[in-house]
Formats: sequence, structure tokens, C-alpha cells
Amino acid sequence: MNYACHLLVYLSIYTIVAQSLNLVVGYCGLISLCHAGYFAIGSYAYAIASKAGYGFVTASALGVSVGLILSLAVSLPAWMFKGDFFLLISLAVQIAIADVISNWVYPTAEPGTLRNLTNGPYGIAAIPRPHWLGHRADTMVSMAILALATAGLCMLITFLLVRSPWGRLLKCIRDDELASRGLGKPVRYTKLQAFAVSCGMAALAGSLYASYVGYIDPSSASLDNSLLMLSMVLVGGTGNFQGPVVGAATLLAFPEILRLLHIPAAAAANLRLMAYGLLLILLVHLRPQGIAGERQA
Amino acid sequence: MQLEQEILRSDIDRTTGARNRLAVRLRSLRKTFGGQEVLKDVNADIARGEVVLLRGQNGAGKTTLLNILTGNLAPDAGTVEFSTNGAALAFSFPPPIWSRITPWGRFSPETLSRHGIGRTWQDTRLFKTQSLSDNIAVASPRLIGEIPHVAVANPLRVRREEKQLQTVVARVLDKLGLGEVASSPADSVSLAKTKLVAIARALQAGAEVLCLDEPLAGLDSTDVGSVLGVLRQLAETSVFTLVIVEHDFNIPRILDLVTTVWTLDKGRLKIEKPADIKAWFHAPCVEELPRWARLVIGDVDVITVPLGSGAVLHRVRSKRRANITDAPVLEVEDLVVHRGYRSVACNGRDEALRGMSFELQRGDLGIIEAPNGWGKTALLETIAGVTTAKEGSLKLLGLPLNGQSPWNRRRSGITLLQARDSSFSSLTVRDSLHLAGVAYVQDDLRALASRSVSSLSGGEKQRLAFTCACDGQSYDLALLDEPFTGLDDKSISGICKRLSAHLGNAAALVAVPSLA
Ligand SMILES: Nc1ncnc2c1ncn2[C@@H]1O[C@H](COP(=O)(O)OP(=O)(O)O)[C@@H](O)[C@H]1O
Ligand SMILES: [Mg+2]
Repeated sequence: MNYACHLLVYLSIYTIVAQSLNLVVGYCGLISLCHAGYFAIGSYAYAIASKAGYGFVTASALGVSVGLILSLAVSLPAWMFKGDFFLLISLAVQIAIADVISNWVYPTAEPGTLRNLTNGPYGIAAIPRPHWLGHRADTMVSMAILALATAGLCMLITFLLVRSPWGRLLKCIRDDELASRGLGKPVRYTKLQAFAVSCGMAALAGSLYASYVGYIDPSSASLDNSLLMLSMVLVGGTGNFQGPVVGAATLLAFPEILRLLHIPAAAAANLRLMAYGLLLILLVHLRPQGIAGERQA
Repeated sequence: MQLEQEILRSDIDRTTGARNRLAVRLRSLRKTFGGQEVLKDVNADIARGEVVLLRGQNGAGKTTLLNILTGNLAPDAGTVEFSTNGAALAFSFPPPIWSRITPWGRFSPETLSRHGIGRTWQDTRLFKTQSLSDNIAVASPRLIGEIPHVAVANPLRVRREEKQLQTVVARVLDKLGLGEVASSPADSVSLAKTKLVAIARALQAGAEVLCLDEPLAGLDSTDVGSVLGVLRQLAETSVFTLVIVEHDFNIPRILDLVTTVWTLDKGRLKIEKPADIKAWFHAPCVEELPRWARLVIGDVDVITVPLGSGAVLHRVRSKRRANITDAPVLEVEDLVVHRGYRSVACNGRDEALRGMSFELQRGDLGIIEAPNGWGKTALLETIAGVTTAKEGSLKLLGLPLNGQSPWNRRRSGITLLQARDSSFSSLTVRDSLHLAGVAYVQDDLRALASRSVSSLSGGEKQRLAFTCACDGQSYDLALLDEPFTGLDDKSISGICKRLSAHLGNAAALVAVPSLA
């Protein structure tokens, strides 16, 4: 039961992540490598705020706002850059975020203070379990319910967004930016909005993660993590609603299956990477549009 | 006679009454591209309701002027003023400093579009993953559903708005005769349909001044009719002001709609009345085909074979060769051509007659004249091996081609000029020519050698593509897919001359949209 709840929490977190990254990758047509950065920004903001005594709603709202504001770091360059250049810029943003997180440390200061905001490589431990309105998510079941509810909310919001004229406008901008501008559409502003929503949701997923695991360190902001998130979107299929969910589920199921096969942990880590690689290669050959993708790009 | 009267009447209409207010005023426009002065000193006024025809040779700067008119390109100097949408908007160039640092009122396509200036593109530029109805719907200004927080907080209101919008769009599409394909994605419908949708899209965005870049180029005669019908309606309402770029070839078809003719020549604009240039275009050029043929081969015999579904193959052979029977260069037998899973270019519906058969000798010019959508491109690509033939046999100089890769077919002597833009846009002209193995380069292209292909005008690209296909390695069979699209008379005769030089010991198969 606990195991099932654990899986559910992870699935919820990564569904939010993949769903939000899909807004950028699928709907804006920009491959971004800095999503883990925003995920980590959300978790750190949550960790610091919740250790200061704030409840789940306030702390995660803080995480979302920080993610939302910092999304400008990628969305402003997206005004001008596309394709490879944007990829490089998102990589630079990713590295910058990871660097700031692992270096904002001062030995004698308390973690969470201005001099030692992130506690650097030591990370922030003992993050309290989420609590709201006098209620605490102490059990696995209540944690799973919270995670599912948050994921459901995010799915609802993305669903409404991508099926709305706003989602259509995003796809049109992706298809032909100049033609959209010729129709009087606020192309840059719309991209800004898409990135803000996307990064804000990544930060929310990060908050959820921090509250569940209770400990975060700079590894959550690593490039590996960004690549995993990107693979989820690409494996599932970009530019539609169900793809990212399928992708997140597939990539999360992989290590679990390896575990069920009783492969020793040391070998399993390497096997997992090999399996991911194999999966991606097979996919590119057999279904370039992703498992649940609709049409060939 | 009746035509002239109509032109006269519309002239009177437009010079009287309040309608004749100025919509656009251009003063001393200048534009240089790296030393080449494309526009020197362009002055013009457009009154509301006017229909302007903008003509000029390939590379004269028509698209450049249209880009300036629609905010896609800033001129080096001059002023552009609009009084549309009930307000005035003026830009002077080079722009003053304050307008360069503030984000408002910039000279940009967005600003002009919101001010009622719309355009269509030479290569339609529809949103290709979106359905035709969405292509039009997305153009509507001020949709509340495009504000993300409203889309989330008030989905019902957004839904209502979208429903109303879709009924409006459905009506528009019905009127254009596109009701049946309303929900197919834009990259799966024919060129004519995309051109109609592009016009509807610009109007939906609220265009009062509509700039159309070659709306008739690449269309066959029935399609020309439908686009022309729409243009005529727009012109007749005289609510809209039109600026139409067209080639001489299509000008006779639209001349009766036009109230003013602008001719771009050497960077300057000559302004005339349609009656002034009418003498130039006495007869509509529906007899284009024999003229090309004669340009290529001189005195000719033409054998015309029907290929079914409105398509014909003209086999044009020089009178001098009439009695020579040579081994055929290309033999096509019972060929069935597929595009995707659909078989196209077939002899009607009769299963027994489905395959097509014909042959070409040295010196032969085969001209396939077929309506758009018949499968001309698919046929040529099948012969070149880009797509595979499932049934039938193909022989080049007696050797079977079936199963051969396209590069092997190129080596054994088949060259293909693909329709529309299939050039390598990131290469320079010189590299493109190198890649194609062109040893001797004609003067006109040599002047462009260091330019990147993406900066060429439509006609220049087409000339480059022809040179790469036909002046590179030697060939026995040239497959040319709409080689004349977007070219002016001078370029056409230049290409024909070069083609005729090659026809001495090769055959050519040319696909053109049917024009009769
Ligand atoms: N971006 C550009 N850079 C350099 N030269 C250009 C660019 N755009 C157009 N030109 C040149 O300006 C001339 C006019 O081009 P264009 O307006 O496209 O001609 P057309 O009248 O055929 O539409 C051409 O010689 C073209 O090569
Ligand atoms: Mg042009």
C-alpha cells in the first residue's frame, strides 16, 4: 500500500513536470533543457518557506511565484532565439541555476538566511510534511491524495489552456511566427505567458517533491534531471494533452520494473541508463511522434 | 468595350464621394540590400477602395515594397503613412530615437495589422498543423480566450465565444466553397484552397488594406477562377483597398479589376491607369504552351495524348526530327503513381486502364498539362525515384529503372527540377552551384554568387534551381516540375533557350498546370 502511494506521488509530480514542459516543447516548439532548474527553484523556495513555519499553500505559492518571475530568464531570450540557439541558452540558464543553488552557502549562517540561502551542497534537510488549515499530511495515503489533487488541478489548468484559443495561438506561433505577427498577434507576450505557466508549474511540482521527500540538495537541479524530464515529453509525444502523462508513466515505470526483476542496485543504475538510451533509439525509429503522439511533425 | 466602360465607371465611383480618402501615402522610400539599390525613390498614394496592381520584372523589388507596406521590412529612408481604421499612423525613416527605445507604436507587422493592413504571402504561410477553420479563427482580433487567466477561470464564456466564432468561420468557408475541407489540416489541401484561406485569414484579422503577393501564381485555370472570383468580390465592395502583385503572365486576368497600375523598374515606380498598359496585353496568354514549345524547339510537330482526369501529354518534336525513329530515352508502361496510399495521376476510374504508358525520344519535349492536384509532381518524382512505383515499368535508354535508388537514377542520367522552393536555403549561391557540379555559370547568377539562397527573390531562386538541375552533370532526361512558375518573360525565354541547347541529345518532360 505504501509502495503504491509512493508511486502515485512520484507519478503525480512527474506528470505535472512533463505536462508543463510540454507547453514549451510541444506548443512553443522550443526544446528546453532548464526545466529541472525551475523544479529545484520551487523545491528550495518551498523548503525555506515551510521551515519558516508557513503552510503548504503559502509555501508552494511562494515557490510558484519565484518560478514564474524567474521564467523571464528563458522567455526573454525566446523572443529572439529558436532551435539550437534557444537550446544553448536554456542550457546556460540550467547551469546558472544549478551553480547558484550549489554555491549560495556560508558556513556560519543558518540555512535559509540571506547569506546561506540554499546551504549549498549540503542541501536542506528536515523539511516538514505539508500541512494546511490545521491538517497535516502525515500518512502516505494523505500525501498521495495531496499529490493527486495537485496534479489534477495542474492537469485541469493545462487542459483548459491548451484547448482554449490561447493554446491554438501558441501552436500557430510555433508553426509560423511571422505570419502570426502579420495577423496582429502579440507573439512575444504570448510566449512570455507560456513560459511563465510552464515554469510556475515546474516549481509547484518541485514544492510537492520537497514536501514529500523532506530533503533536497543541488542534485535535483542537475542537467540529468532536465534530460529525464525532456525524455518524458519526447517519449510520450509532444504537442498534445495525453502524451506527457504517458511519457512520465513510462519512464517512471522503467526503474520499478528493473527493481522487480531483482537486479542488484549497482547494476540497475547503469542498466537503467542503457535502457533509457535503447528506448529513445527505438522510439526515434518506430514512433518519432512519441508513444501517444498524434501526427508526424 | 463593355470592359472599358466598367473600368471608367469604377473610376468615377472612386473619384467621387467620401470614399476617396487617402488610405496610404508613401514618400521618398529608399531601400538598399548590401549596395544593391532595390527601391530608389518611391512615391505613391493609395485611395480607399482602390485596386492597385504592382508589376515588375523578377527581382524588381515588388515583394520588398509589399514588405515595407505591411511592416515586415523597414525602409532606409522615407515616410509611410496610413489612415485606416479611422485613425492616422505615420512612420518616418530612419526612425527617431524615442521610437526606437519604446516598445509602443513600432513599425512592425503587429502594429500595422492592428491598424488594418493585412497581407498574404507568396508562399501562403498558413499554420500548417491547424485546420483551415482554425487558420481563420485564430486571426480574429481581441479574443478573450487568448487571455490565459480568462481561459482558465471562465471556460464557459470562452467556449461560447469560440462557438460563435466557429459559426462565423464556417459561413466564410462555405462562401468560399471550402465547407467540406474545413477541418482538414492546412498542409493537406491544394494550393488554391490555401490561397483562398490566406485571404480569408487576413480579412478576419480586420484588414482594410490588403496586400496580395502573387495570388494567382502556380494555379491552374479552374483555381485561378475561384481566387479571381474572391478578388472580384473584394474589389466590388470598395470597402477594401487592394495591392496585388502579379506577373505579366496573369495580368490580363485581373486587369479589369484594377484601378491603378504601379510598375517598378530600376527602383522607381511608374503610376499608370490600366487602360495605358492594356495595349500590352491584347490576348490572354492561354496559348502559352505552343509558345514555350516553339521557343524551345522551333518548328514543331505536336502529338497530344490524353492521360485521363483532365490531363494531357503533349509530345513536342522538332519538324526536322519528325521522321527519325530513335531508341526511346524514357519508356513508361502501365505506371501507377502513388501519393501516400492514394493512387493519383491515373486513367480515370477504370481499373483495367489505370496504368499510364508513353515514351520519349531524344530531342522530344514532353509537356504534361494537368490541373493542380492531379499528381504531376508525384509522377515526376516516381520517374526520378524519389517515390517508388508499385506497379508498372520504367526504362531509361532501354535499361529498367524499377528498384533503383534516386541517386543511381541521377547517375544514369535523370535530373529533376522540383516544384517550388526546394533549394538549400542556408547555402550561398556559389555553394549551391558547386554542389550541383555546375562548371560554367551565366552572368546573371555570377553576380549573386556570394549571396545566401534565402535572400534571393522568388524568380532568382527559380533560375538558380533550374541551373543546378540542368547545367550540372550531363543528363539524358530532364524532369522539370513547373519550371516557369513565378518567372517573367525574359527569364522564361532565357530558360527555354538553354533547354533547347540541351535537347540536342536529351529528352525533357515538363509539368505545367493546365491553363486552357
Ligand atoms: N533580405 C535580402 N537581402 C539581400 N537582398 C535581398 C533581400 N531581399 C530581397 N533582396 C534583393 O532585392 C531584389 C528585389 O527582391 P524582391 O522584392 O523579392 O523581388 P520581386 O520583385 O521578384 O518580388 C532582388 O534582387 C533580391 O535579390
Ligand atoms: Mg516576389
